[in-house]
Amino acid sequence: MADGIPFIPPFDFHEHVVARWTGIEAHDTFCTVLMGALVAIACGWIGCYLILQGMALLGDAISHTVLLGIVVAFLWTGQVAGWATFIGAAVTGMLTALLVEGLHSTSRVKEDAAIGIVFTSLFALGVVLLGVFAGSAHIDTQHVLYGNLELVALGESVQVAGTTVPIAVCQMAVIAAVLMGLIVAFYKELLVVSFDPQLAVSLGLRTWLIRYGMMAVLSLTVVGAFSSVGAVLVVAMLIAPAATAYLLTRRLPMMFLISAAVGVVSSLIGYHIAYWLSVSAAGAMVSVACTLFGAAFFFAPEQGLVAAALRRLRLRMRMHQENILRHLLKPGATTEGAERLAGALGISRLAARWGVASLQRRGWVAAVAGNGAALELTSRGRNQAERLDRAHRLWETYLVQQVGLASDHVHPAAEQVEHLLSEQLFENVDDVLGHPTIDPHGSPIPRSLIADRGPGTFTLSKLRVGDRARVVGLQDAPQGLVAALTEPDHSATEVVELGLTLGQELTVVERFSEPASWRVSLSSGEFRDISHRLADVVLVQLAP
Amino acid sequence: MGPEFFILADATNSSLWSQVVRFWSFQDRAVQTATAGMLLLAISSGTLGCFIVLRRLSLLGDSLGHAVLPGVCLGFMVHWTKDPLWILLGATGSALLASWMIGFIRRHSRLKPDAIMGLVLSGFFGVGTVLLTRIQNLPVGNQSGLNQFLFGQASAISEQDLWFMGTLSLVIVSCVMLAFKELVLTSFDEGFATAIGLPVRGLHYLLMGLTALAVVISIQAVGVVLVSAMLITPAATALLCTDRMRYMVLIAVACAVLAGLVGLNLSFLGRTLPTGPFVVLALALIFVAAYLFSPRYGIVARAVRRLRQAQKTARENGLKSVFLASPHDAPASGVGLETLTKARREEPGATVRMVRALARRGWVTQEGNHVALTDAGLIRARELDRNYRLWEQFLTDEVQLPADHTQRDAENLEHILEPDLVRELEARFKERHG
Repeated sequence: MADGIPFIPPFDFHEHVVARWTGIEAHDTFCTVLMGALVAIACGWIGCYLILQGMALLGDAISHTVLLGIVVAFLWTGQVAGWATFIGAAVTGMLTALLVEGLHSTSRVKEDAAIGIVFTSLFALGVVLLGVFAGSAHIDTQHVLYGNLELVALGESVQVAGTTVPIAVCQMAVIAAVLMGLIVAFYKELLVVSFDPQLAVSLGLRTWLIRYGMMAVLSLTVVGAFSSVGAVLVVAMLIAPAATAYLLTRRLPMMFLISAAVGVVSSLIGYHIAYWLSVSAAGAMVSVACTLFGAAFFFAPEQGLVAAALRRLRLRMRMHQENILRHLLKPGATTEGAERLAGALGISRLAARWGVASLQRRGWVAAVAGNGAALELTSRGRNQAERLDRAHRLWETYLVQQVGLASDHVHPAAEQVEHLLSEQLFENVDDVLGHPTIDPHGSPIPRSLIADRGPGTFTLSKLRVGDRARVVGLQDAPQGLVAALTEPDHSATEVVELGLTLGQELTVVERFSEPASWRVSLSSGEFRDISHRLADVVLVQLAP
Repeated sequence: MGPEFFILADATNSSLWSQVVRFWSFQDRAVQTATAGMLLLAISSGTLGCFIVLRRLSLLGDSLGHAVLPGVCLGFMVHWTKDPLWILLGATGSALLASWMIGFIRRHSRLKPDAIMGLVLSGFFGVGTVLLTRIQNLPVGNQSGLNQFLFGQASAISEQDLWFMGTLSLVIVSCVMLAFKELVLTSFDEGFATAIGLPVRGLHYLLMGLTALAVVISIQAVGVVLVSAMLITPAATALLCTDRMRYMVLIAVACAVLAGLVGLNLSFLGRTLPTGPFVVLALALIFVAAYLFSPRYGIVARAVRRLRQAQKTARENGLKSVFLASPHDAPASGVGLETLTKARREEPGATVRMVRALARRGWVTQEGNHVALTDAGLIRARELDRNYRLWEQFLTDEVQLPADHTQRDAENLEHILEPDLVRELEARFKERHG
């Protein structure tokens, strides 16, 4: 590509992966990967809280401004990674938050602009001080941005339990441990503050303390990570693992686990990619982490794009099938098959064929004997179709009666809603409407097939004119405890007074609406008018 | 390092002052080019930044700035040289891709916008870092000068670059001028704009596209990391100085130009320091100056106004106390100092000071221990008293506060009721009570 050296060198598994972990370089490899993993884990955990509290922007700002703290600490004490550095970082972190708060609460400048102004100014100051005064600090402006993870293993080391470990790694390990300790110790407080800040305030938690405490811990983490990943890429380590975890789970402990795993994997794979391509290790780590995020974005089982598309597809398929079912209910609708259906319903031929095949598999539709392509409903299919038909017509009735829409406006809405609401909900709608038998266009509403207690037992309110039935019991009227104590339910007494004793046979002779009532004739020949309230309570079985 | 550096490098031997003078004489070619580039970028960023800040899109500017890095590297890789056309195209493509991606992720996930922007910002930067370090590790890419895009190096702007920058700036400024009214309206009242049929989404995309162009212009001079400062800080400074959109744009451009030139000068002084940080520091200083000293919204001006208001209130309260302490049927006859002190429940010295202030204002005359209202004082005192009663009545009638709750509110408001409001309250009072 350029001068004979290919831009992407060939990948040799042995040289680029295996050899790193065997031989004398293994220790350095291990330290580098460990550092990357510790940085990723610590940043990932804080990042979880940043994402949940919507503070990613402030986190971005602080990760830039700690440079100023580091440079000032260096100019004051000559240390590059000592205690002064950490104090300087914590101070700048909190200073950033204070300045932002001060700026946007005392002037017309809004919060996002305030953050931008504060962090670019402080960061610029840090870079200027670095360039002008701190030439001997071995921090060059470029690495300020993306760190130098590769050099960590070669830095000053200490002896820990018999092995030499770079100081930077020890510091990061301590930071990660402290972070874990704080999260465990203040788990409940952090939980409340993250998910319901107002509840936290009302519980008396000092949210400002927790917030500034988080800023301080964030600053310390960023400083620990600074030499490895720099000021800009640390933002990716704060957000990417946490965002990936956010898309994969809804439980907080799981979120911590997944973000840590993403961090470790990014560090490992990133290191090898960086070694193979001779590029910045931090850059490679971030690229891997973002790729993992991309994978979660597309393929997460619940929140992923693919899963959402599949859900939508399944819903559309179900709707097509149900529309086919309802269409076949129409008189004379045994059709010439899927093609005709497609035309009649306005869907593609493929969708129609697929729908018909699914319906045949479920035993709801069958080919007409003797006429190959034509289709008809089986008896189970007819039941299904009538349930849908009922839902559709009930919704139309509801829209006209309760919502006040004109009867020629309700069909499209009902076409959609019939698929989406549960059958139980439609029973409630039926009750609210007073158990109507005719829809706004004058067509009959199929009767309810849902039994109320035991097979074949219905409330009286579900009976139609001409039905013969026998009283078999009383539905428990749903009633709260307070109502039961203050206004005891007398339905049982009323029902008996009406003559509807157990075993009483009756026939429905007329239905009234507004208010809904049922006129029944008893076996003695007498007529009784039953109100809606009582009709909902009396249980009957249909005579065969 | 081109020949331009040597012209200035030999200036390191001369004093700081002579270097400054030399800069501002604009004789050096390098200075001329760099200044021209800085002016172009100041004009485009200052203009667009006003809309960015008003629409609270500051973080977006930051994201786009960082996101151009991969595009710049890829543009470099076309000819393995800093060809301005390809670098520009790469940067623009990268910025537009990032901006699309932010929108896409936002629409299809439950992540909050700030997290998405931070992720895209640093993710693109990470990929850009991989490309950058790979290029730098290749022998051909070692002298690429690409790292100057990180913090900006205005002295590396070539004349060819200037042509492109000029064209883009022209595009930006013309688009903004042509669509000025529409952009302003959609920034302040999107609902109304949609209702009258303006293409609100189209204008939004236009703004995003223009911002991408402004970012691309700026990266040479101030670098990808600090480009958002060029967009945000001048506009925020202007916001603190004026309420009119036209003046806001002018002030923002002026601040950007001033800071750009000062920063440029600082970065030219004897060493090859990056330009970006110096420009940003200059911007910050100008912002702080506006924050403190802006005649309308500056902290100092607001404090002075508050102080004056407090003094006025204290004076008028003093006047009222004299009025109330004077005999009811002959208020002009005045009251003794001791009575006044007792009524006001304060130290005698304080009463004396207060009376002196009132006398200076021409509201009272003092003879020995006796204080009497002048005509002017009497008029003002009666006004205050009437305002007090009007407001008290309003609170009782309309707000339905119980009578014993109205005093403090009325005492505060009597000082600030304006004549129009007083007339309206009087009209209401007449209506209700005849």
